[in-house]
Formats: sequence, C-alpha cells, structure tokens
Amino acid sequence: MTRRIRPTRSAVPTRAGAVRAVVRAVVRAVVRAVVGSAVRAGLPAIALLALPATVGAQHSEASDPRLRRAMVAYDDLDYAGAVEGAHQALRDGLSAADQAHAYQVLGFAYASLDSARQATEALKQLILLDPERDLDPTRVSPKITSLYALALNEVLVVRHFAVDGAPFVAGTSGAVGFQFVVTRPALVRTRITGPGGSIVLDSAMRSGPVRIGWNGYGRTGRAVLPGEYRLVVEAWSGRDSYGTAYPVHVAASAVDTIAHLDALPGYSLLPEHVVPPRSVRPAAVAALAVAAVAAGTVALQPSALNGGDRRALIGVSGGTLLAGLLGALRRPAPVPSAANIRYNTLVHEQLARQNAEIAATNAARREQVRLSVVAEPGAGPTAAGGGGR
Amino acid sequence: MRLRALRVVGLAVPAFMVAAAPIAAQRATLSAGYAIGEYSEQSAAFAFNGSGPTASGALGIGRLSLVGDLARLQFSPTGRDAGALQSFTMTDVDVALRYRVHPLVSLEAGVRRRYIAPTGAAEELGAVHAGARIEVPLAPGATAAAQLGYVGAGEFSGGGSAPFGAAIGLGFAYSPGLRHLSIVGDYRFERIDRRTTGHAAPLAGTTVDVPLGTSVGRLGLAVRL
Repeated sequence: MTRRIRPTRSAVPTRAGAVRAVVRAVVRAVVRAVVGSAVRAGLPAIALLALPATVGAQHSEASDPRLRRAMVAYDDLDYAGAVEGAHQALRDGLSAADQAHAYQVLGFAYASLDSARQATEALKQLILLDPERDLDPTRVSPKITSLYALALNEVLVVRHFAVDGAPFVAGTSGAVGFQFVVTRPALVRTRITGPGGSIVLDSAMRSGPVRIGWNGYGRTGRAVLPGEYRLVVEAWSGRDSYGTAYPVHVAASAVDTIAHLDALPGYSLLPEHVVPPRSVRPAAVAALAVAAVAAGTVALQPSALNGGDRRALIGVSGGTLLAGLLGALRRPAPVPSAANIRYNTLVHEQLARQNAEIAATNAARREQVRLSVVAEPGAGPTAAGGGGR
Repeated sequence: MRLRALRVVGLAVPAFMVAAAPIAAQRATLSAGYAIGEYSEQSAAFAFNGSGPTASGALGIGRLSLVGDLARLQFSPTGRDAGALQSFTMTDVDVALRYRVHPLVSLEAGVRRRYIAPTGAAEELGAVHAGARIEVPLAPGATAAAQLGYVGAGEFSGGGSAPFGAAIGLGFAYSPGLRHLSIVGDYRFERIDRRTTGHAAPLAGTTVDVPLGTSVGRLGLAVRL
C-alpha cells in the first residue's frame, strides 16, 4: 500500500523550481492515473490509500504565509517541499495554533515519505500542542492514522474531557462524572479547585478512558458553594508528566421536598358503623321477655288468690310484642364494626408512619443541596507541562 | 323509727348526688299515662279492679338513676263478696335508685308507700324493695325490659308482717320516629305474703296468712328531656 504513495518520493530531491514544477506535474498525472484506474477497476480502497491526506482545507486556518506555502506544497504532493517549508516556519517562530498546523504538515509529509520515526515525532508534537485533535479516518490514510495512534501511545496527554452534567444531590449516592482519556498508563491525580479550596477526587494508576465521580462535597464535608471551579488532571509516567485543567461551573439549588400524604394510595377508609341486616331478633327478644314475665307472674301468684284478672298483663304483653314486631321491621341501627375500626386504625397508623418518614426525609432534604456541574461552554483546557518519549 | 330514718337518708343522699350533677350530664324522663290494676287480699273473694292516672319520672347521671312512680287508682270490688266490700282509692308512691352494672342490667333499690282512702278499705303498707332490671334494645327507639325483685314490707295498716314478698315486671318503650317522645307501657305484679295474728274468735291469737296480690299495667307517653 505504501508503494502507492512512493511516486511522490521522486519529486522530493529536485532543487530547481522549474524542474520541480515539471516533476510535480508529472507526479500529479501519474497519481491521477493510478487513482483513476483504481476507481474504475472497482478498487476504491486502493484509491483511498493512495490519497495520503489533505491539509489544504486548513490553509486558511494558518496565519503564517510560509506555513501556508508548506501546506500548498503538501497538497501538491511536494512532500519534501512541505517538510522544508514547515521546518522553516517552525524555526522562525509560530503561534501555538500554527505550530500545530506545522507539525501536522510535517507528520503527514514524513508519513508520505515513509519516514515513520520522523512522522511519529512530528505527530507527538502535534498531540502535545492539540491533545483533542483526532484524525478523520475517512479522510486520512490508514498509514497516517496508524502513525498517529502510535504517537498517541508514546505521548502522555489527557484528552477528550467530558462532564456528565445530570443534577444530583450532594453527598448522596448521586455524583457527577468526569470523563477523560489518558493516552498512556500513568499515575493520574484528579482534583477540583475553586472557592472551597482544592479537593483530590482520585489518585491512581490510570490508562485509557477514565471516569471519576464526585459527590459534590468539599473539604468541609458539606456541599461546595456554587461558582466557577477547575478540574485539574495531572499525570505522571516515568519522566513524563502532563497536567491540564478544565473549567467547570457548579450551580446549586434546593432539593425538592415530598408532599405529606392525606391518604394511603390504594387504601380507603371503611365506615366504622355499619347497618346490620334485618332480623327477627327484636320480636324474639320481646316474646321471650313476655313469656318469662307471664310465667313468673303465674308462678308468683298466691294460690289463695286464684289468679284473678290478667288484663294488665295481657295489655302490656301485647304492647311489648308489638314493639318487638315493629323493631324487627325497622331499619336496624348502625353498629360499630370492629373489623373496620381496626382496619382504619391500621391505615391511620401507617399513614402517620409514612408522614413521619416523609417529614424526616424532608428535614434531611432541606439540609441537602442539588448540584449541577457542567463544563464551561467555549472554554478549553489549559495544559501545563507535558512530555513524551 | 330508726328504719324510716335510714330509708330517708339512703334515698336522699344518692338523690342529692344525682340532682347536683351538671345539667348537661343529666338525663331526665317524664311520663304520664293511664293504668288498670287488680288488687286482691286474703282470698279470691276479696278482689278489686281499678284504674286511674299514673305519672313517673327519672333523673339519671352516668350509671346512676333516681326513679319515682306515682299512681292513683280507683278500685271497685269484683269478687264473690263484692256487695259487702267498699270501693277505695289506692295511691302508690315509689322512689328507687338504679345503678347500671352492665349495659343491659341495672340493680335497683327503693321504698314504697301505699295509701288507701278510705282508711281500712284495703291494706296500706310501707315497704322496701330491691331487685334487678334488664333492659334490652330491640331496635332504634324500641326497648323491652323485665325486672324481678324482693319486696320487704315492714308496715301494714292492719298490722302483721310479711316474711316474703316478690315483684315481677315487664315493660316496653317505642319511639315512632320521634327522638324525645315515646310510647311506654309497663306491668308489675307484686305478691306480699302477709301474716297477722287474729284478734277475734275463732282466730284470736293464731297466725293468719293474708296474702296480698297487686297487678298494675300502665300505658302512657314519655318525654325525654
């Protein structure tokens, strides 16, 4: 696959501008022919591999004219010229952004020239200058992306920072998650600094994707005050070290409380007095009383008095039986229902218990703070130090 | 004399306690009605039927109630010897204290005085009585009651004593939808085994059994205050 790019080498040694232009034109024609034939032959992969990469789209991003010329040289497949131009620009001093562009041109050009070691070194510098940069595999040849991956493994940086910004209650099981990637195994110390001082969140050997949780508590053991904070990530691996800080914003709000319950969901109170079904009991009781008194009267009657007149007994007995009969026909009076009363008592007890728990929970929640931690929009990391092999 | 004083004190003290209770805690009932009755003495030949107005009242607080009955019945002879007997008016005054020992059961003790006019037409008496009363609610506003008690008659206008006396009663109350007004009725049969000593020949000096039997049935209206 690298041979597809090799024709570009022939363009490198030329010194005279005229000759270089001629050679450049020839090389372009050859490359176009190769790529065109590959596409026509149904080999788009070959065509893709043959195209090393383009930095032309970044011409306008570079502010230095020499750097722009180097980029144009790269796009014109004049890799040697691109290398020379980039080195020249770097020697004369560039801004950090232009330095990154210059090292990208160098890395890509060296890769195209099959100078893997030099390409890796240039890409390492690029990574140190712009750790967040990722190459688009659909636009950059695998050869370069593999060299970029190699450079990533050799340099120690922290990149791809992200914050899980879901609000959480400080001090509870909830926490905010800080995510980043450490390119090499390293001792990584993560701390957050801000109005409340500096709190170390984690200090351990880490490599690759890292997720650090923070419960929102500060050094005082209470929720931190709202404000601007910085998540500082420092990494050490051998002689290499890297540090970066990400600005984050911490917002605080009160925790919602729970409303007290007026009733238990799914449980309704039962009537404590229920009307029993009609029965003949009143008539039976009246008849029993009449019979007992009549019998008692007969029993108590002195034999010498011969029984006598019973009108009074008959009249009152009739009245009593009538009262019993009417009572049996009447709608019975509501009577207390022990089961319902017990049930209602249990429901009230449970309701009181739940409201007590709610009150306790609310009391605790009033002491709590809901925090929302988000990365500062538009603010990038600030790196300090750094190094690679 | 000592017995009479004891009776007066025994009724007056609880009555004062009931009456002295706060008005809101008191229950009062007044009733009036008409009664029919029968009175017989010594034998079936000495029998009377009568009727007349009655009134009663009750004042209660907590478990304790003070109950008073007044009946004035006009009796006429009905027995075999009716022609030789004289009509009379019986006035019964009864005052008793009831104490509820159970939601349905009360214990009762009281005194009774019976006046006869004209004097001598029948036996006047003074008695104490004690017993139990059971009152069963039949339905809302309807109750039935039964009672049984001992009657200790200590005084008779004709002399003598009563080693045994008993009373049995039946009662009902029915309120036809009116909360404070009810129809009431009660029946009471009383037996007193009076013994006396004969004063004239051939019974002079001998003990003679002169049982008394009285039954009264009343029907009336009661107002609960």
